[in-house]
Amino acid sequence: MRRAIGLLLINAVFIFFMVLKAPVFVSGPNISVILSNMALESIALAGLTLLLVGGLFDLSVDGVVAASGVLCATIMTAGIAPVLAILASLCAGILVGWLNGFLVMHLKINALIATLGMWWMMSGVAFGLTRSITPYGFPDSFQILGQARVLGVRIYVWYAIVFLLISAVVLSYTKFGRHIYIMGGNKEAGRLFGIHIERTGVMLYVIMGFLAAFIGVVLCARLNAGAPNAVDGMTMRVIAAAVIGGCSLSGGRGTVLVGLLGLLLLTMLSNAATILGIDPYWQKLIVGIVLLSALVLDSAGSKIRIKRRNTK
Amino acid sequence: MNLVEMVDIHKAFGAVHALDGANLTIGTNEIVGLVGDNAAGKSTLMKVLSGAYRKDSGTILIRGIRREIHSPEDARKFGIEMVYQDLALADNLDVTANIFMGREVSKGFFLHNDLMVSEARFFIDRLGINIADVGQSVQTLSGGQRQSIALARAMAFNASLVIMDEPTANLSPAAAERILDIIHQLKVQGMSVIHISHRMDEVRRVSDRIVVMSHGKMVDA
Repeated sequence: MRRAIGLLLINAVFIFFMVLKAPVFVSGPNISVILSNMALESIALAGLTLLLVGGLFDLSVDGVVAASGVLCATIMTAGIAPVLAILASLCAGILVGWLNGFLVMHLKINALIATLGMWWMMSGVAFGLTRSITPYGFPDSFQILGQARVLGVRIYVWYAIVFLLISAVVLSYTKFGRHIYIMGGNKEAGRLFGIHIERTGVMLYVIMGFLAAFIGVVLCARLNAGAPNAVDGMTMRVIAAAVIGGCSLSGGRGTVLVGLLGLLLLTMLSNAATILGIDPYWQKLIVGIVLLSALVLDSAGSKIRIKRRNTK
Repeated sequence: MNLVEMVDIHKAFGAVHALDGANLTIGTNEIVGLVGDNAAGKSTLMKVLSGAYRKDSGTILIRGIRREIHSPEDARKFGIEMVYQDLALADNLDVTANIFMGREVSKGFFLHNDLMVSEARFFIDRLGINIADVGQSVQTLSGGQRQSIALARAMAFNASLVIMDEPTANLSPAAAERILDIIHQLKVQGMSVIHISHRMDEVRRVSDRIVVMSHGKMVDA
């Protein structure tokens, strides 16, 4: 709760600063840009928060997004119905998620290494399928999935709201969510009390695989093209946002909605940097400083908590 | 009829025979002190009984009926609960979540938090544990309170036998005293207890019977 209030205050102060510096920042069109920029990353946040709280990691998200988008595009280019192309891409994402889960939970391969390898493979698939010639030009019935507006808001913002709400509710109010927290907090204890740690972990990777594939399909529809390099650094930005939002990299702590505040801060920083004319190359430095500051504060907070406990 | 009988239990880890024909009998409503040197096999025998380890051979009878215990869930089904030496608590969660770990109560798709909170409060009060708020994170509790939570969890679900592995280790004398009181209360409430300890004075004080283990078997009772 303290983290949520702190982030709300930081976001509010930042908005106030920007109102003074560049009022266009809070204009309707710019708010729409911020929401649009956040939307697909929010869907990734919905899955990555579950993994991080469970003490797991997935670096393959960018690769799965690219591969599933390209796969969907390639299938449609071959004349197959969009609905089948979408289903094939989502199934491929689920399969990759299951493979990640199997490697990490059953073969006990370090999650960073296993999913980094998977990212490499999926990037290879994306570039291999296109051979640098991006497939484009799909039926309107497909494009609408990424370009429509509902109540004046981009459709993928609605997707993000739905997935974020589902993820937040599952994590905070269901038995599965409680088991994710136990898994991240003390998985050996969880095992002794009958929680299926391996099964839970695999399920988390499957959910992430599905969400990454969904992002890939929506991005393909939005761009009307299956670009293998459509996302760059999404995974790291989302993990950074989750950590800023209080997710512990060692697991057991974090919530979806506070992570969203972290993502909002990062997105606003990038947007503000553009409005203020800061070189895009320096924007990464700003994100890095924000992330490291959050980690230093988090570490200091943990030490204080441990000290307090030891003095009891 | 005895509550539990363990007969000729063997367990090896590679070339090391941790249990070499161990026998143990626990009566109903009885506190048994289990003592022995380090590596005598006490914890291994209790982990076999609580389902954390599988025995290589031997027989376990519960209320006279032969039972196979392959997992902690099996043991719990037979009313056997273990309080582990490291307490097996999730520091990131509150008292209620730890008491209900692995046995969360749902109402439809959602956790039934109100019920779990009120029951956790009941268990804590029944044991006379001094914790003001069951929504408090376990991380913020003292050593004695953490031990009490692990005990409350063990006895919360109608256990007939509670196994405690060094329950007073690393506790202050006052907190250790409180835990010994709780062990006595468990007996008053109709449960049996196996109390593993190196502190002979404590074992003598609370136990109805003392069993001594050495080199994976019983040497005295």
